[in-house]
Amino acid sequence: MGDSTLPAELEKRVAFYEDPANDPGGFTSNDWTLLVATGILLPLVCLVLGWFVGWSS
Amino acid sequence: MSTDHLSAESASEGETSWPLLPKERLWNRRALFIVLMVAASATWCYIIGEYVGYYLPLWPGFLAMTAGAMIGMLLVTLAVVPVSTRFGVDSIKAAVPQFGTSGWTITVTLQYLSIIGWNSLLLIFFGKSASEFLNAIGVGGDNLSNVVVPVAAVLALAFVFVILMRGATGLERVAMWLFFFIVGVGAWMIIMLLVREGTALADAVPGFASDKQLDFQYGIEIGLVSLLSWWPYIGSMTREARSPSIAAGPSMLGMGLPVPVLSFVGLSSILVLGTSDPATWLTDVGGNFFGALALLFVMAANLGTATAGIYASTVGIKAVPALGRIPWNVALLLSVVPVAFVGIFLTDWFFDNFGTFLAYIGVFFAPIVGIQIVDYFLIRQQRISVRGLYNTSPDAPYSYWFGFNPAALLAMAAGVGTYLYLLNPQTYAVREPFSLLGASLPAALVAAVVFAVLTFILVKPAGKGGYAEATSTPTRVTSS
Repeated sequence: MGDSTLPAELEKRVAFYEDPANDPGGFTSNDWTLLVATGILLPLVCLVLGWFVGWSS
Repeated sequence: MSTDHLSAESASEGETSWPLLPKERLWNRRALFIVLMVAASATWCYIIGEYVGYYLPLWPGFLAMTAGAMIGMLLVTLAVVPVSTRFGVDSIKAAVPQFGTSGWTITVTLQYLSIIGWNSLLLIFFGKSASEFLNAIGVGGDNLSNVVVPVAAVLALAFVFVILMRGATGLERVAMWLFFFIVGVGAWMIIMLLVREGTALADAVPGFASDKQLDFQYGIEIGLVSLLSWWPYIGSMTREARSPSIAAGPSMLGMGLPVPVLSFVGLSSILVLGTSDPATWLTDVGGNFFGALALLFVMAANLGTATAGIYASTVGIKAVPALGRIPWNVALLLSVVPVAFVGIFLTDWFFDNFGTFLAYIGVFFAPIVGIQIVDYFLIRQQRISVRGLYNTSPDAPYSYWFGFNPAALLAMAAGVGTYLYLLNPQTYAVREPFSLLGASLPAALVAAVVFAVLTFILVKPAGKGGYAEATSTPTRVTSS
């Protein structure tokens, strides 16, 4: 069904990223801080404000 | 040979599903933020706000919608951004490790249907805005919209087609132009509504309000599923950035936050004006001059988003092996034509069923993000074989069984079943614990758990999925 041979240009690109030196890495600790702040803490604050304050304003 | 077949020439232009090299990935945080923000800021925000306004007053509605939206954006970001930015691939390729080398049949289909739906909506709004704009400047009569809406839709698609003949470069250019227009007029619309309708907004009662907890959960769920719909879009844009670090902020703040902020306009207007469509009230509230100006904003915003959507869809189409060889412009046509058909011939049908479309977004994309997140972060520990994304031979790491991963298929089924049990996408009837948990989060969680269990008892023991291989892992972390 398939083939493990890649076209030359694709092979070049794949080989580039197989070199660990070319892997840009994952999220940094600063990124995780941002993701937690905007994706978890901000929603929690919105939920609390919306539930306890929003209806009375 | 069934590996992706694309010309080196087109690959160098970043218009394929092949990994982009760093020299081709030139978007910094600012450029990515602008492109993502322009992509997110469109008329669909108004109709999203409208649906929240059926159940919630202004501030609870805005806050519930914002909470849901940011949770949804976090899920999409975690699911797609790490792989797309590490290897310069789009959302479809980023899902290969979980769904298999033939998994594109699922993901491309969902992407295609989702983007056709959203862009059809944009085109309809674009046409209506163009019609109202002509009315505002004194051109045309009562029956103008019958002609203008389809003509404007065709012209808009032609514009998008021409822009995207340049690929991602065209997308970036048009985003830069639209950015200040969108921010400025969007802010003006919000201020205008608050200043002129502030008192009425404070007293407005939602049309379908019933139980406080259930209504609040509807608001969260609508915000969440709306942002899950960025799954098909985001990878084709974040792949233009060189690392996850560059994309994390623009993703959350550029693509996530503008949706609830602009949805505020739709939420406010449905509460006090009875319609969320700015095309029908902007000239009444803002006067002919400012109304016409704002209508131009609506048209421009929709064009920017439609451009991003058609681009993402076209990149996804190029990931289909049988379509990999076709020229970029032909793939572009395959993205444009269905949108034109729905936007022109099925206008009323699509409008009447928008709520169902929105709920079905959650039905499918919630399980997908759950599966991707648990696999990438917990099971694979961020190890990915970039070669495996393109190697379709039977013994390739992501070939699984006949190119499909049964763990992903069964997890999808479990997630979809969970969602449908909790929320009926057609009637919005719910079963508990919807009022406590919503539908998307449980669907994502169930899919993730089923995927993890099946992977450990079925896939890994069979030596499938590349879990045992030494593959690329993010050991070198850079900040930029």
